[in-house]
Amino acid sequence: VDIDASQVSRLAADLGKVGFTAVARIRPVVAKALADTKADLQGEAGAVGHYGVPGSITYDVTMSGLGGEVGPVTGGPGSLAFFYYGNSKVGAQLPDPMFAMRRNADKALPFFAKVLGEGL
Amino acid sequence: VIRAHVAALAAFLGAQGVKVYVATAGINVDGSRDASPTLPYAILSFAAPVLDSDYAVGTRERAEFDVTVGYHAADYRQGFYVAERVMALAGARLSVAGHVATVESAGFATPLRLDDDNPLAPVYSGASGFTITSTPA
Repeated sequence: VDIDASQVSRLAADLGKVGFTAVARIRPVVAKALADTKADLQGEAGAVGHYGVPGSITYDVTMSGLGGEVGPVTGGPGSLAFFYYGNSKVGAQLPDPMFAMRRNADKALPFFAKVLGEGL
Repeated sequence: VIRAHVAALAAFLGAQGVKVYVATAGINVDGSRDASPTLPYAILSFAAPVLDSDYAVGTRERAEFDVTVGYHAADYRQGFYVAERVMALAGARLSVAGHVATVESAGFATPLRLDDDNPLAPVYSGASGFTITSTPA
């Protein structure tokens, strides 16, 4: 799952009112959203007994702090598609990572707004 | 509360002409079992709700249910037919006694894919995710 805050920053840069320092202040907000999402995903996987899955869930901050990736790494245990989407016999056993990502992105929005608002 | 929302979601999809099972193929919403589920059908997976209250402004407890709807069909045409009906959930109001329950637009959707683990009975499968936001009426 990707989160991309670059458009927000680009908007601010286009306005010419927010300085370069805003990027440095956005970075921890992105990192916090990613870390919270990782914790949520690990909790969901652990709660239903997929003990091998939580350890495979990681996050990376990318794009100099304006974006990131979170989720199970390639080569993790078993078929994660089966856990997240099920098959014709058994339904999904874990909520799709997008749910946790959206929830944490929503939580982060006021902080993005605060950083940008202080720069304007 | 969870069961009421599961039942309402299943009723909505049922009205769209989609056979719905819960958690496992063959298990109906009322707990009864179909011995031989016949394609196409959908399988609902419900996560426990995330509860939220904002006491500062007096908002009553709001529940968010993350739902994955996996659908399975015997061929592509059937698969797309069911996919279209599942997508009708986006923006729908569900009938849940004592609650105002709205299905938000799809959180994700996977492409229809072929599962040919059993070459004699290939299955075309897809999945869509929705968040149901529910507040006391």
